[in-house]
Amino acid sequence: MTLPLVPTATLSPTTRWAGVGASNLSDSGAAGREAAAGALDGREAALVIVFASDDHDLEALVETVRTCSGEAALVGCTTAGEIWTGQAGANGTVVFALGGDGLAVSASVSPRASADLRAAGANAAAGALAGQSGAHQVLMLLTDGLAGDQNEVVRGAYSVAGAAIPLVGGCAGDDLRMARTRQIFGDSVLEDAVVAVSITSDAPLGIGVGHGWVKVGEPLVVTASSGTRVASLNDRPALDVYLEQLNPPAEAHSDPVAFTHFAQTHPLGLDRRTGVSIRFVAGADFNTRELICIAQVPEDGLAFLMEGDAGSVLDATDEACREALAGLGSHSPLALLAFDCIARRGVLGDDGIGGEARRLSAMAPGAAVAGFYTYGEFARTQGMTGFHNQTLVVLALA
Amino acid sequence: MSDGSWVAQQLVRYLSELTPSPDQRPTRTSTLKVGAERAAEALEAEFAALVWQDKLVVDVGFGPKDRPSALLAPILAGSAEAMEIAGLTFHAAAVTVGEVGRLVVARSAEPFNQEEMQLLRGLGRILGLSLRSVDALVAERSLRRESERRAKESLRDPLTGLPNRTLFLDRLETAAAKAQRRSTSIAVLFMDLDGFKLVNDTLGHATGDELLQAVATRLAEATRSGDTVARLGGDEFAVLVDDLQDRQQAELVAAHLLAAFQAGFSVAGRDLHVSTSIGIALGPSPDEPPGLMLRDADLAMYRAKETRSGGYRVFSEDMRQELVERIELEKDLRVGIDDGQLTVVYQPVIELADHRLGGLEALVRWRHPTRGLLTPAEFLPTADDAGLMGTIDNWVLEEACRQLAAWRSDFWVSRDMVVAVNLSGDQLSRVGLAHSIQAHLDRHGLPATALYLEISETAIFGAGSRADTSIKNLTDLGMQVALDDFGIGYSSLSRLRELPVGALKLDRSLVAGVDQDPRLQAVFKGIVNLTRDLAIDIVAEGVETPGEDAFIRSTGCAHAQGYLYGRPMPAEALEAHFRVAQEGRISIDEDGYLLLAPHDMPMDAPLTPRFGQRLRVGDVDFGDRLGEVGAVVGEETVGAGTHGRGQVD
Repeated sequence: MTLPLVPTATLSPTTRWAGVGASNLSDSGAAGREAAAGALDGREAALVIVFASDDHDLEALVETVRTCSGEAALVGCTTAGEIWTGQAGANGTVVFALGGDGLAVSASVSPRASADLRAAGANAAAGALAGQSGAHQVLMLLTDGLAGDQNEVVRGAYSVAGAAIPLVGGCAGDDLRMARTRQIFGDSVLEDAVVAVSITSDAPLGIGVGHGWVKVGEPLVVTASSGTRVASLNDRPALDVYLEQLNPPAEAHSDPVAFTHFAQTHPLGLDRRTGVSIRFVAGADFNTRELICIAQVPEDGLAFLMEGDAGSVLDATDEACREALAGLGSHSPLALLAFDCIARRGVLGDDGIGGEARRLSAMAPGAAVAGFYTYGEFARTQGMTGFHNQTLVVLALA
Repeated sequence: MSDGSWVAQQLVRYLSELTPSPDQRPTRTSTLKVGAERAAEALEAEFAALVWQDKLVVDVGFGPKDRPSALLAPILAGSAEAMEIAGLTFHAAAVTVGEVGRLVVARSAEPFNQEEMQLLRGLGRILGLSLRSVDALVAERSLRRESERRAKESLRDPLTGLPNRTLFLDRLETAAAKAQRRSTSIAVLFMDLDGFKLVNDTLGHATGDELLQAVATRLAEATRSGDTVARLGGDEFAVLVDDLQDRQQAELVAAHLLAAFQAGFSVAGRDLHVSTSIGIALGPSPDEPPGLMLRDADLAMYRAKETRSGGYRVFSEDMRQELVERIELEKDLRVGIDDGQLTVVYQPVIELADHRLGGLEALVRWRHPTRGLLTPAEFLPTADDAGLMGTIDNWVLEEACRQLAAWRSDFWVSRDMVVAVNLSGDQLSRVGLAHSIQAHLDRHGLPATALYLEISETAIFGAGSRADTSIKNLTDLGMQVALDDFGIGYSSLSRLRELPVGALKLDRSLVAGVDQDPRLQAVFKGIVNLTRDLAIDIVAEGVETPGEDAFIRSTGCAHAQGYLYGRPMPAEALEAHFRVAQEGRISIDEDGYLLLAPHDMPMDAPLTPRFGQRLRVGDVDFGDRLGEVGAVVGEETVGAGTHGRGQVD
């Protein structure tokens, strides 16, 4: 089902603008008010995006944001950490606002997505893209990464958007509780939903992707897998191979929490023609000796064990930013939207993520920067596939 | 990677993605779509299309303003290797899929190299093979569905969707075994629809079918969800009720079902009121297979019908004994027919005006070697069940015609005297009935007017439109038809207008005590008046008292029949009467003249010159057909044709 469209907000002030506001207040209503005020600064926006911790009373937060956002398309999701201009943190609230002339925004949502993720992606995309066209257009997806294989969401969205419209976005988080994530659409707070936002601009849009992981050891054949569960690598139990080759701390051999913590920095890399596609290892089944990933791992393919460090992750941040900004050509960046994998946050640590945020801002001085740590990222600019793990996706707006 | 293993991996992966998991039900369409999409993903292409038998069946990546067919045409024709979309160049490649398919992929990054083309060809081949396997799977699924449907149908009645006899018996076995384990009881309720044949014949089979469906729904609604309602065939239904504690529970279910029939059925725009009778068999019995409960319930239903339509009866052993007797009777009857044990007796029908003999009703009897003379009521139901009614009807017709012809030959009986024979409903539906009866008449040199065929109202209505045709065929040949037992069935006066019947036989229920009952008199008079307008004769049946006779005669009713005038009697007894009457009607007077009674002179009037006709004996050549003389003399014409010469004084 696709809910009614939020009315398209095409505004005509003299210039396009972007603003970001953040709040660390624990009172959800107050946090929403503070962050929205910072982002909007009294201006009338076409699009307002909320990235907030799952700790918040999201309904109360959305209600106060809505009092400031007026007729703007209001979307958002819960996070595993928030990013805003020059800073990053956890358990907070970030509001991003976009307005001005030469800009058209339309949003849509498909609830109960897990019943048919492909259809959910297609329906949400169709709702957001209906009647929208322009020289520079992007479709942003905010989804529930716990609802199933997000490649299907991309396939559905792509079947509607086609090659001409790139896809970006991320899967909502819940501060690594892995229990539930929520999506915001208008006044509604939903779970198991796909929110799609079409942004059409007179100015160019740029998208960059980077991960910063390196291969460990020889390639492995995925000898048995089903959906997101990898049963065996090289005909041996996948968990055993993973533990033997990466040699994690002893507690990760039996403690699920310790294992997940370790796995954040040790994803699987799937061999692709043009490189490696990262698969976040979310957990393990210690009885069946299976690895449990966030996205599908096809059987019979080649996979690598991967690892990263702070240096390589930050290098990848620069790389993604540069690629995104390159898409703007001669135009000055107005804003950067960052969809950064929770695993990269794990590598950087709580102290390191501030450095990453500063790097983002430094790459685009004066631009509003907003984003969140995700459970999966979307970026499709070439080909048809576009779901990533342990990757940073940056959307640059001019 | 470019050492060939990449191609192999991609092919394996592609094959894996196109191979359905056990819980998937791929179709040709879904396989084509997934096949095109995954091929594009493998080659990191933005566009994919599948053309099947020159028709574009899948296109992925094209925007709403793009025209995929036009863009793809030069690629498929081999005249271009790229598409231009929105000012961008997309490198394209096409390969064959199966025998009539083409797979096209296109991407912006760079042209497809040799290794990628090798992969694409492999993908096309795998997709072709997958489609063949999907086609086989779909065909197999379709076959399986068909087989499952047939299996289901073999256990279900296709018209009502209810379990059929096979499934009912299966459930009966299961319920019986369960009841024996738990020491509880089960009941089989057997029922059919009273008058269903009439609905079928008069309103058509489509309406009959609709009624059966409505009955099925009504029964299902009136029973518990765990009970089994089945259609056994025709208009027969059965209900299996389990977990019973006593007989009363089964009777309650039967009463509930009967109540459910009280509301009419809205069928084909009509409100039909149909009743049913229910037979109940309780079980299980440790000594008998559960299936026999169905037979017992069937028996009990027939007893219920005999007692009262719209009731129920619980099976008891004496019913089984009756069944045994009925089977033996049927066996005896078959032997009896072959051995000439059937006989015909004749009951006079008199003309009320002068009590002269107007006709005779031929009635069958069975001289059973051990049980004595049996009336129709004692063996015709068995004959009906055994399908012997046609045989018996034919035999009676033949015998009655033979007898009438013999009497005409041997006695001085009036040419107006007719013989009436009863026809069963089964006969009425028979094609060629009229000509078959004509053959009996021809065989004995009788005119068609000598025969009256008595058909009961029930038989006429039961035969539906076929009855009208049969009656018309009979009357077209000159035979006459009487509507028998009028007054105990439908008594439809309006129907009388439509049927070419010559007479109406009023049942004794309208005659007995009519001289004492003003209301009955009003009914009687009404019927007489109406039939007079329709030129239909009335024969009052069962007249037993002079009072009844006097009243009936006073209404202008023409004919009557009953013990008052004569009981059914063997042909020999009648012949004795004829002989006496004949002797009384032919005498020689004192002048030597032959004294003949005119044919319409009352049988019991004394023959004197005052009433008789005088002929000089020498002037008359009676030949060997003395019986003809009465008629000829009655017309005061003697001497014509074969009757010789004579002179009326």
